Amino acid sequence: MLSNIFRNPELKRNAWLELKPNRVFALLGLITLAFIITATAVVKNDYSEYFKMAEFLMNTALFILYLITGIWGSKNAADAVADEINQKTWDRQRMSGQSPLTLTIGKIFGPTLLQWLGGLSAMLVYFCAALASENVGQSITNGLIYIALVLLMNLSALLFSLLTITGSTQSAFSHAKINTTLFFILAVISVGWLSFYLALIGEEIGAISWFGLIWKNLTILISLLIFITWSFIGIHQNLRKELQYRNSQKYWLAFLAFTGLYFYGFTWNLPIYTEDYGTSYIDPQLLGLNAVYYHMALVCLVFFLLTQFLLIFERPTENDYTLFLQALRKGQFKKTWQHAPLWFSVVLGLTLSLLLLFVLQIAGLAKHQLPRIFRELEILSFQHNFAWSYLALIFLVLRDVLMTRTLLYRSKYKNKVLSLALYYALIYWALPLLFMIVANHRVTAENYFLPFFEAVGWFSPVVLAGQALAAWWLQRRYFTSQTRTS
Amino acid sequence: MIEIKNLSFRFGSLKALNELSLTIPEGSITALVGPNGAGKTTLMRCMSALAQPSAGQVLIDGIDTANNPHACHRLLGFLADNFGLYEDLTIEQALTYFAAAHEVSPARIQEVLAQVNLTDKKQEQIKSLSRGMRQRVGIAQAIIHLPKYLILDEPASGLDPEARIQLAELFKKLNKEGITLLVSSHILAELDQYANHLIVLKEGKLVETDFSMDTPAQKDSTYFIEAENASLLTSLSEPTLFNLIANEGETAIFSIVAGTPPHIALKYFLQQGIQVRAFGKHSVNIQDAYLKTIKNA
Repeated sequence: MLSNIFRNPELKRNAWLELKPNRVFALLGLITLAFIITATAVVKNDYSEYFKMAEFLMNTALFILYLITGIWGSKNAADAVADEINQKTWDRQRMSGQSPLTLTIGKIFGPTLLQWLGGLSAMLVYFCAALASENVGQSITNGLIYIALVLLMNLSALLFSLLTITGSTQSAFSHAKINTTLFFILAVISVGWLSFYLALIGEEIGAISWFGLIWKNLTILISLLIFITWSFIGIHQNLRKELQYRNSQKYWLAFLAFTGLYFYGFTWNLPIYTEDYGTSYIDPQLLGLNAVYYHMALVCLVFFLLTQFLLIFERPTENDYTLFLQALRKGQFKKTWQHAPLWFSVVLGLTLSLLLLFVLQIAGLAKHQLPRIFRELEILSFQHNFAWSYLALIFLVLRDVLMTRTLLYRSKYKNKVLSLALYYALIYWALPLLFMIVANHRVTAENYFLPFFEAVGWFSPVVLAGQALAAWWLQRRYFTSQTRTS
Repeated sequence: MIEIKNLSFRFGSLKALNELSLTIPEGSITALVGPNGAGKTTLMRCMSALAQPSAGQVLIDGIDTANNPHACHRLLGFLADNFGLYEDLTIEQALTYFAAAHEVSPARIQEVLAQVNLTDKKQEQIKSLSRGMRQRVGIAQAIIHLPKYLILDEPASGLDPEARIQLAELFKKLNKEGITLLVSSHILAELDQYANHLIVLKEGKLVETDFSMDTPAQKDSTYFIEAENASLLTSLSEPTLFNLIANEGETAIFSIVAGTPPHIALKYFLQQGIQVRAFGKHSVNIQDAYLKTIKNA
């Protein structure tokens, strides 16, 4: 492991490029200037307490860390492999004999060396100032949290871009330049903003529990470290694939199992509404099948979002997808898993979970109440009919899978993002709106197009099954000629 | 030896390679030619284990590229048509990077610089180099790990005549040092200078292979004769003087026995009543052979 860091050719190459003396001095000079300005402003305003000066210096350091390492670093991380492809140097790297671990460490930290130098220099001031703060322990923990947060932002940016660009390296004729702006923004928003928001909730409300532990600094730090580990594994697996190693899906399945378990932790002691809309806390362990029901409902929500994310961003090559379809059609289990895209296992797990939820509801084995989060998000009501909503959701997911595959492999690279965006805008906004206008608002269109809305009895699943059938016909029409002649 | 067995590659509905089977013998310099869109680049990428074929196998010294691409990468060097370099690094830095990546001794860097005649330019930034030198840097990067096979996709493209000659000399030098080369090019006259094996592709299919080029010794002893009654040569037998190779209409190709001056053979033909119109050295010309092959394909 140490040799992968100290004798890492990628780190060395980036050190030559990024850590040129003029760049390093300019960056450190700017950071020093920022602290001097902060200190001057504090002194001028005559804050006599040390901890006020400490607070301002810590805030400045966090701002510098977020800006330089978080945002600038994430952009560089997103470009780590994309730039190699755009500059036509990636194939040479793929043949270079570097191990996936060496390349992973090199790609994570190589392009962000300068940004981490700047960020950690600022954090050095932070930790010194933390010693003079009001609550030293909390300040130090917060500092570690923010370092973990920006690291997760960098890893996410690289991971999101790798999910999408993997396919393009397979084609010698792909001259389109890869633009990673979208992945970088996604990483900054999803990790940076969301984690910040959750941290704030944890601090202010203090009511969120995770497996009985209060969602505060330590649990947040542990969560960040766990997701950093998973992101590292994800990048490693993607780079293994790029270096032509055969990957099994074991790490992905382990991640899915972990995600289910992780979000399950938030349903412990979750407040639910009783039928008279009062609020009470119920220990899920007492509820038997109801506990399973509540936990699975939340996990299904997470898996649905994960499915949609992968459908949009995961881009296996058309060759790989055709091989997957061929193996699936022939019932070749091992070969199917070898070529299966990541969304396949998520969709399988989601479908089985939804079927179970449907059975629990329709058989009256679980109560109709749902955790508060569903009520607050206004995505499910408390009628009997949402048993059919689970069935409808299965067909909705199938529809989206089939349509996005057809669009992905029919349009050219530049149009893929646009065609997927148009599809989602059409099916999730334009068509429901048109439907409602035509029906003069007498029918709620979301029951027939959108996820997690109350089904209109068995009619909603039938309509969505019809949509899935149409999508299946379209995909079959496009892929039949390839799969039959191959 | 590189073996290709029933190789197919698809881009959507287009079959870029269509059940291709061929062999590249060890120690050869093989020219890979074909019209645009024939599948040359796709074939080279499959051979370099950079692209996974839809069907078939590529075996590098018996190792399947699909099962063990890394072992194949140790045996192969590949220079793509449109390759990139690390513009902001010096030549020496770029080679140091790849030497470290391949876990090759740093001493190899100086050897490679000498092989490609860039020793005196090693401290120059790559972005300041001419096209010919960039090509040599690309080749240096491809051979830093002492590969057994070197695959080059249009290496002479964009080079001036002098640079092309230097490149040809470099290829012959590398081949003498034991590297098997596969070179694709549209500049057929250049391939004539060093290739001794030819593969012709068209629309993803093999058109011609094992079209062994003349060795230098063969080039020296093979002659042609043009005459209205050249067919008479088939009835002549003088094994101490010549051996008939081919006789097509008014042209006959023959080899002269070693040690015999060509004017003795000419004198003999004239004495036998052959109405000679033209007489001279004959060699297999890639351009003519290629155009003839493609026309008939």
